Amino acid sequence: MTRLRLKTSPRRSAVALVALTLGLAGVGIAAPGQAAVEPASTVVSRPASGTSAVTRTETVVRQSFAADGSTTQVDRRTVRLAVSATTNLRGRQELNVTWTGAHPTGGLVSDVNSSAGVNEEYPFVLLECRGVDSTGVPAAKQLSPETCWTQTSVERYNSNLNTTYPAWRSDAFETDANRARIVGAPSPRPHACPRAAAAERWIPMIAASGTVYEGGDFGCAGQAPEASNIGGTGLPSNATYGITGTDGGGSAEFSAWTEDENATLGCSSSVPCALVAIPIMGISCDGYGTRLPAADRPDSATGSDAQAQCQSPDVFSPGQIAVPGTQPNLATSGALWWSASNWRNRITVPLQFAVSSNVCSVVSKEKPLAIYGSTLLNELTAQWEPKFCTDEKLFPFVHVQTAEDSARTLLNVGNVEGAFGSRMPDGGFGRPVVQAPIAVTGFAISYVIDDANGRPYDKLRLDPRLLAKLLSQSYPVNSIGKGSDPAIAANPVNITEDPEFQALNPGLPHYTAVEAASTLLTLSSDADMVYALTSYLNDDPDARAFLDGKADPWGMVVNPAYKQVRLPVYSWPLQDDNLATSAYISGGNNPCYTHSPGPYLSLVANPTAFVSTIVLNMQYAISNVGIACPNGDPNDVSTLKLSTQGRQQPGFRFVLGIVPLSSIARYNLTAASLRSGPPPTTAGGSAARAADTVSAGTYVAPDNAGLRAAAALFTADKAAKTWKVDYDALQTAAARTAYPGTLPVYADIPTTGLPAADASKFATFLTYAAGAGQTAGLLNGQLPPGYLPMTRANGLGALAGYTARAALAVKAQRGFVPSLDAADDVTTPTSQGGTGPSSPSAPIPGATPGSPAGSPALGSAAAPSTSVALFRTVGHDSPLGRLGLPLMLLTFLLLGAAGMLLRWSEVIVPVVVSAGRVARPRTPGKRKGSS
Amino acid sequence: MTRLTKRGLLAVVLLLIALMTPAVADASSSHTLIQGSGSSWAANAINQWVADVANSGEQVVFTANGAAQGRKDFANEANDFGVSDVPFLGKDPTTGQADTSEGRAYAYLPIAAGGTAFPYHVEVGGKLVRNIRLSGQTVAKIFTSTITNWDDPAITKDNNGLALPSIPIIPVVHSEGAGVTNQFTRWVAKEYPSIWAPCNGGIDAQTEYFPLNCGKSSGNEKAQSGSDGVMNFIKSSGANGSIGMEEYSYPLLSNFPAAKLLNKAGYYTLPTQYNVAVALTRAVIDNNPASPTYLTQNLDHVYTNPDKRAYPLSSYVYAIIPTSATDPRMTTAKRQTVADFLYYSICQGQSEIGPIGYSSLPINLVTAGFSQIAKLKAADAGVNLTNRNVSTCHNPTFIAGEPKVNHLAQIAPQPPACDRLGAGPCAAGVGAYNGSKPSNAANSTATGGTTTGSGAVTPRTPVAAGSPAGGELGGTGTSDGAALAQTGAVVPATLGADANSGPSTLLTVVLVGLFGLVVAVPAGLGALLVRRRGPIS
Repeated sequence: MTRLRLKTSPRRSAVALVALTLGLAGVGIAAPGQAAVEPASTVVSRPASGTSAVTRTETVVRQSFAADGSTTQVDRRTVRLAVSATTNLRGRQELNVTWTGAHPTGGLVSDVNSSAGVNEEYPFVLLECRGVDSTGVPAAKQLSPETCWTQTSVERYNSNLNTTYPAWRSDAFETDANRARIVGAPSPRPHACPRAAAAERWIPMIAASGTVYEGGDFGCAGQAPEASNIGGTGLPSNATYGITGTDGGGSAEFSAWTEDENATLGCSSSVPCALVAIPIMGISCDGYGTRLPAADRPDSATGSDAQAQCQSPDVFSPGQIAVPGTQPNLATSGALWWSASNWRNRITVPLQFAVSSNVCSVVSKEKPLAIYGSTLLNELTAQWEPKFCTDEKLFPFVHVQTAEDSARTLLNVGNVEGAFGSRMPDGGFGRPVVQAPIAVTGFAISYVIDDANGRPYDKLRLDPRLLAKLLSQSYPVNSIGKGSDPAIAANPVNITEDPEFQALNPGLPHYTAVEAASTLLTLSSDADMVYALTSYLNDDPDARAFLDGKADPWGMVVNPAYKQVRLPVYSWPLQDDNLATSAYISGGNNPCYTHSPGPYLSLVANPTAFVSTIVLNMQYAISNVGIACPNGDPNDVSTLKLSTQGRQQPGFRFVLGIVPLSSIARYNLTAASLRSGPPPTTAGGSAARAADTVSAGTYVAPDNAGLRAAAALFTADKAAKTWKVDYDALQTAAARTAYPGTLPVYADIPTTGLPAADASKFATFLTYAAGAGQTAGLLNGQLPPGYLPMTRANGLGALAGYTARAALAVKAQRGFVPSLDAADDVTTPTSQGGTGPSSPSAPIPGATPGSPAGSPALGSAAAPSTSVALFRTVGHDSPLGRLGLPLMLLTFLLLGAAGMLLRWSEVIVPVVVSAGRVARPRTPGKRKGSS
Repeated sequence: MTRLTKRGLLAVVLLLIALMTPAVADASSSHTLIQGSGSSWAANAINQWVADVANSGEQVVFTANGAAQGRKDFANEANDFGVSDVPFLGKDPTTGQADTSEGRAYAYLPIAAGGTAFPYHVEVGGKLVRNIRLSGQTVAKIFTSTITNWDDPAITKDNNGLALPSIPIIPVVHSEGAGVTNQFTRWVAKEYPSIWAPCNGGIDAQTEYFPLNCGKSSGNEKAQSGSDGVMNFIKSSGANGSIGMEEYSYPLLSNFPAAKLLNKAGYYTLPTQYNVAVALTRAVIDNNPASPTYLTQNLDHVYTNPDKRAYPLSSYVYAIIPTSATDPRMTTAKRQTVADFLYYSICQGQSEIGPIGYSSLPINLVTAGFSQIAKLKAADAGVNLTNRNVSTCHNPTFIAGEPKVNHLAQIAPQPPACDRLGAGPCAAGVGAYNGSKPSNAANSTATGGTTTGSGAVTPRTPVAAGSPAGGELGGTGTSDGAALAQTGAVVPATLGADANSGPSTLLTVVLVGLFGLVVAVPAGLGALLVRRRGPIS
């Protein structure tokens, strides 16, 4: 289990409460009438998640009412529901919802968040609804189907042209009025709506503002602005038609929305909302109308028909995939989630949302400082930026997310002033630049894999050789890939068929028809995390040997296109250039591919330019395999566009992708454990023994312990003045608990040539990063989950200390780059006439030899460097300046107060007063006391 | 404790709180999630802005599904704003595809400038060649499959007589309806009609759907899906000889070379932020606010801009925003978010996109952009546009007091001599400078107010970020490396006093003074209060 969890202690909460109280008091004093103030709102805005899991158990029944009014119980189940978090939620937070004991679902659809889900039989419906589920509150504040969000009009409008007694009219638990032929239709009927059908039921949507959206056929009578009748753009709906497996269990990720995402629904810290789970059991049929007043009952023939209609047998068997064009049994379908029979079985889990976080002003007085680079810092800077823009002692900054190596090159030639990255450029910087550690984090291999029960698997273990197989396109994918790449046709078709994978992850089903199971989604743009991943593969003897052409113990061989591929690299090269066979190209099965054939396995790999795309794909199990051709018409060129496969069918999902570690916690993704420590020796022996050997390796999850152990293995490169990940050390016994995807992220800032104002800001930034910024938490300015605090307790005091010293050098702008060890900067005399009194700083050793051909490095050794004296500056980080004044004020104010008690003032005041008289004659008699 | 003591303590606590309370964020307007879709040409810039505005509480989801689809989504009321390189065309001039907003009221708003680049993959001796240059005519012939090999004499001529080996050319185009295709085909239809029309079924017009292999059923030309697909194909090892068309940020982010394109002044240039800004000074913008195509571009004079620095295939990309007061998708909060997101995009957002491959909007378009944003307020009085104007706009193209001048175009560096037709070719990286601070970089990387002897060197050709080792046509430009000598000034010779650390004596005096005040004032105040109310019991 590798989901990251944030731990909060009760003590921290207490501190937060105090801070909250103080902060709120501060509003009254400092800014009456203003909106949120920093400490107040932020304290509660991003509190811990994962600490408020809830489980509920409910007994649900379906009954049947005979013509004589006698009842029989058709079905009875005990449903147990668990929700991973329910309090202090943030907008778009993903909740893990799991359940057991429900009726198995039939007629499964591929996208459970689409309106197609209404056609499932016995779905487990999850909705976000506004209101309190209690009759103890005023009706307007109660939760009802009318306050539950659905994305489309289909989900809240039912009509039947053929029969006046569709199943919903036979609902035994519905009120008399609601069993009428047409219920809920607006009056007068809008012209845009079709003529009334034989029977209709409208479920309007009531917005938080009170506006009523009537909906109707394709929203003919008006829909909420957030609603849409066609999908495909933007965020998927959160209304879920969850699939219950044949064992009665199921799971779903539910995205909780605040008013920021959906104003019509309007959930917030002050407007209560709930997650409503409706285990669809089917209508409790009372076709004869025995529960209706005699006058409203259908005649016996009609009643008999209605009862038969309502008790129709199901169309699909449990677990069966939906058949296009086949209508389900309406009485047990998701379309009637709002019916009284289903609604009474609901399980309501109240959701409590956090106060919206404090935010930067839209209009900024100051142009923010731009720092280019690492996407590994996305979550960190998202949490630091609001702190920096709202604290007037700080300044706004912006993190421009771009390829680290390109940011470093931009920095090296003076195009930008600051860069984030995880490694020294090859050959070092050509000018004095500090590489100050900002965070210890890394990459993760994220995945969504359904196990044999169709449930999300959360124990994935991967070793470097499996990653090498995925990246090197050595799985042939399917028969088309086998045809295009005969050299690998004998390999397992994808990773689920690979004995090595099965040894590490026993019991997973073989997804032979899922193309995405043969690849790992990676970036097409450059990234340091890909460099780290490929370094990890490159230094592993088994993975390297496989890439060099040695078959694995089960006989799988590398794709010849990647044989002896040179690693590490910033982005994985696409080297297999084989087209699909000409038979496939001309076969006409895939007109898009026929229109423009490309390397087939590269289309399967289909790396993307954006980290955000990979994260989204992992969040929603979207396959990026680009060989689909929806609606491809050979005669219409505008349709001949190869597309990605899109969302996978729940229960049969398999996607893998590389993501920044911090995305795992933020988006509730799941991350694989990776092999670390001494490589198992798989040389010789039977295949069965090889399976035991790989399984016996140590696999480490990307949690704080794994990061801490890996960070302990960083090697200090004194010459380059940076810490490096030591991939050789990751092969030693000391690395058995070290997560191999761990990476430091540095701020690269020049120590010469910056304007004084910017240098000062960068110095402040580094000082913040070395201190306050390393406090773990979800408040603005804190360190989010996925980053290991650089503290002494974590063995990273030296990194934080270096960043603090780097701040001084940046502030000074004298071309000095501090040594890793502070002691080295004050002892040895310089031997090179460099800029510092001690260490040679301006030309970083090794800068010149490695610099790109044809462009001599800037500020290289040939540059006329001037010797200057180096001394520590005092102003910037003086504890006296920062703390002295407030502390003295506090002390003396208290003393002064005490003085009033002790009455020593009576001694001093006459002295002061007389002194005042001497200085300036006073007008007598104005105040009694002063005369 | 007495009441008085309590009051004193309360005062102390309140004072402390007042001291501790940091700046108050301005009451932010209500935002809600908005969804946009369209141009992948602009996606690298838009994705950055989306990340930036999150800290102002603005949630924006952008789907880069191509300009044609973005406009279709807008017409279908499936997005809150669209992004497109071209206005609604009525119908595609070549394919006849219908293309209108289907009655949804809209306004166009330029959000970024950029250049359509020609990333290529040509390996010689196992190394990537990084300094190829091409004339417009050669490019036109390559994509219409009349020049089919890199050893073609036309290419040799473009590279001043330096011949590439025989490698078949694989032109790569977009398979979906793409803005970049439209940018290219509009240019080629205007500049090289006799080359283009025969390839485009005899129609000399632009299109968003590239006529693959000029409509023939087979050929060397490949269509790939989206910018990812095009770049993945070009970068793949088997694509030696390929050349595509893509916004400049894509090759930059992948560290892949793009061909220099010959301009009318006889220089081969790259679409750097400067060269694009220079070229676009000749864009003719529809300035009639009553026109449905208000603010859209006519690029005819951009293609032929006679400035030595101009990159001919430069253009703007547009947001399409819904302006009707009764737009069914819009609410006050959505309009506010659209307004604030676009305000960020055309102001501060412009300052960070230069180094990643775009160029900034000039002030006239920003000002006009504000007038378009104002239509959201006209539709809904609840939208707050206070202070969202030019005076708060951090855009690098303006400079205080000179609103009429495009600062970026003014400071754009001149091309090096080796980029001239008949000279060079320059070494890789020369003439590709794309930094955020040209004046600094051109002088030296040293700032801070001190000058050294070497720092006074006259600005020469600045070098681009990233000229990694690779093969190159044995050019003459390497001598430009000499220009780098200027950068010897990285070490300032003199040291200024640390700006923030004042003399410590002053600090001491202040502290002592405060000490005195703090001791005397509460005591005196206390005494006064005591006397007024009588002795403490």
